[in-house]
Amino acid sequence: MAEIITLDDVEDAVVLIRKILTRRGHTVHTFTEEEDTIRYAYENHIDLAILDIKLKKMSGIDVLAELKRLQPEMKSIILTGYPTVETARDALSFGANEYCVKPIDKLELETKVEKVLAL
Amino acid sequence: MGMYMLPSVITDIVGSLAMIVLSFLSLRYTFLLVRRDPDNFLWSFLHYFCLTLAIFAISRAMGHMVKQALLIGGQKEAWKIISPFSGGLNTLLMISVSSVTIYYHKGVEGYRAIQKKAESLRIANRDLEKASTTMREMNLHLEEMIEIRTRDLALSEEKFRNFFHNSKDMVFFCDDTGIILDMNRAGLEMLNYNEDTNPDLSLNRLFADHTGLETFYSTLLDQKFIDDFEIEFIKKDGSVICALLSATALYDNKGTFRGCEGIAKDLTRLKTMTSQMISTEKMASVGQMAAGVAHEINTPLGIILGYSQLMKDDFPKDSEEFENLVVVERQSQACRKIVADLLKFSRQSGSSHGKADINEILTDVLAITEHNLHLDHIETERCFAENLPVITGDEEKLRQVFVNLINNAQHAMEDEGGVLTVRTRFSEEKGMIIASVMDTGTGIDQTIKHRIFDPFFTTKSVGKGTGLGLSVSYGIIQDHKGTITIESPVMYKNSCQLTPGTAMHIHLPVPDKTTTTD
Repeated sequence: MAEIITLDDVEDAVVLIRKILTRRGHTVHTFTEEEDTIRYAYENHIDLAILDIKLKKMSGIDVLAELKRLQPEMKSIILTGYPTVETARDALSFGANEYCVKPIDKLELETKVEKVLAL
Repeated sequence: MGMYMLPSVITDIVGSLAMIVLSFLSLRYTFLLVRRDPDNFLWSFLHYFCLTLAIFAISRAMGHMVKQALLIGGQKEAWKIISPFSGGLNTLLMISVSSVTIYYHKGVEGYRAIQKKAESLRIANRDLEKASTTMREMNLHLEEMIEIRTRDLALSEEKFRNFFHNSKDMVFFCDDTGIILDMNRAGLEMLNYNEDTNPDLSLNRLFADHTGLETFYSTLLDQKFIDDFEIEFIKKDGSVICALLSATALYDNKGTFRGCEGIAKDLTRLKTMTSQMISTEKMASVGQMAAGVAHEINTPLGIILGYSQLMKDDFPKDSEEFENLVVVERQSQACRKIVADLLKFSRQSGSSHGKADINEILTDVLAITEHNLHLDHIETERCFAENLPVITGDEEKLRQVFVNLINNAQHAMEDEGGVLTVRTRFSEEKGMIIASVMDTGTGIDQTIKHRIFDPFFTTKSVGKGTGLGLSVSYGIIQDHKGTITIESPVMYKNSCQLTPGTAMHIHLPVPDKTTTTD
């Protein structure tokens, strides 16, 4: 199954995503620091990155751009707290394949992950 | 005596006669002159001179003629006797003529002196006359000046009277006990006394607040004026208005306080505007705060929701644990809705403006809600205007507004049932579409009327409403540059009878034709 990384400034949130997606048979690596995520991407193959848009230092969009530079084939889902058309459009224009509005619904996450991985 | 003497004798006699005649002619001429101009010294002098000359002429000529007559008559001896007398008389007369002649010089001097005096007197007279003319002119000018001053004064008086009468603010004068001596129409209108003639008013009674009155007087007496003092006046009907009062203390010559003159401005409109502004401000700040809170809550909420969903998978569907987790999930979903509402309220959520047909939106909304309304025995009535112009707006959000309004109407009628009327019309003069949602429910209590748009304000029981429906609707309508107005209690014709209830009117602007074509 897929190698997935997830980055959010809240530990519990990434653990939740890991738990949900591990049950679907994926390998999930969780991160709360932007630098750790990017460092990981230098050495490891990633199929899908699930990134929160609001992080500690950088924006999820910037992290996405950096990861895409390292692994152009990588798929991505952006999580946004504000369900605005603008952030959604932004996320997609920066190369995200899909976006999820927080709070994340388990079913929605599962569906979207499958959809993006199938691309 | 020989005949050779004859010519000289004849010459003597004729000369003497001629002398007499000529001297008398001269005398008569001078007499006429003197008569004509009695003040003229020269004529008088000549007159006397001629008079003397005439007497001298008579004396001399008569003497010569007597001498000739006596000599011719041979009375030489007689002439010898008369001769000294005649000679003496002649000499005397000659002296008097010469003395008169000598006196002429002095006389002329005297005359000149008199003339000079007269001249200076005339000059003085002339000066006096001039002065009197100036005086008269001044007098005349003074009258003119008084006239001008009076006119100016009248103008000024009129100006101030007009100012007093036409002022839109209250202007009044009061005495030292606070009794109003005079108040302009605007003031009387402000206090509802405009129909009374000479209403008995005093500051002491007009002030709604006793402490305010004390502060007013102490400040007035202290600094002789009071500036922009916010007070409440009691109107004739007992209600209270807010006013901004400025007054100046009046003193007489001795420095005794005589009263004051004041101007007061009605603040009611300003207050309303301020409160509206505060309310808008409040909405905005609450909106910001709500957005912040919503965002903060969103993440933990998402985690709770996620875990409950995750754990549900761990238990069989008929176990108690599963049931409990369903409750956790349901309640988390309820929270999620509130958060979403909050984010909508703060207008952080995006909007897509397109063409919106209000009739179509209302038809959609009624289609969804009608079933629910019927359950509460609420009938629906549609009064849709035909050919309603299409407006620019977010259909989804406008739908949300009408859902909110219909929900509230339903809430107002849920116990008794009633009629829900949805009406649309187009006001061409205002360029507005007016969509109204009216119910026959309980109406809105006056005490809470001003709070119904406040966020989190609700009359619904806990769990039934978030208190955000109208706030969100208000925000959405404002985004559309429209307004929401409440009419409650409203009496409107419904199935031929007047029914009390509430009407919510939404005014939405119709864009100009020029902008709709693109």
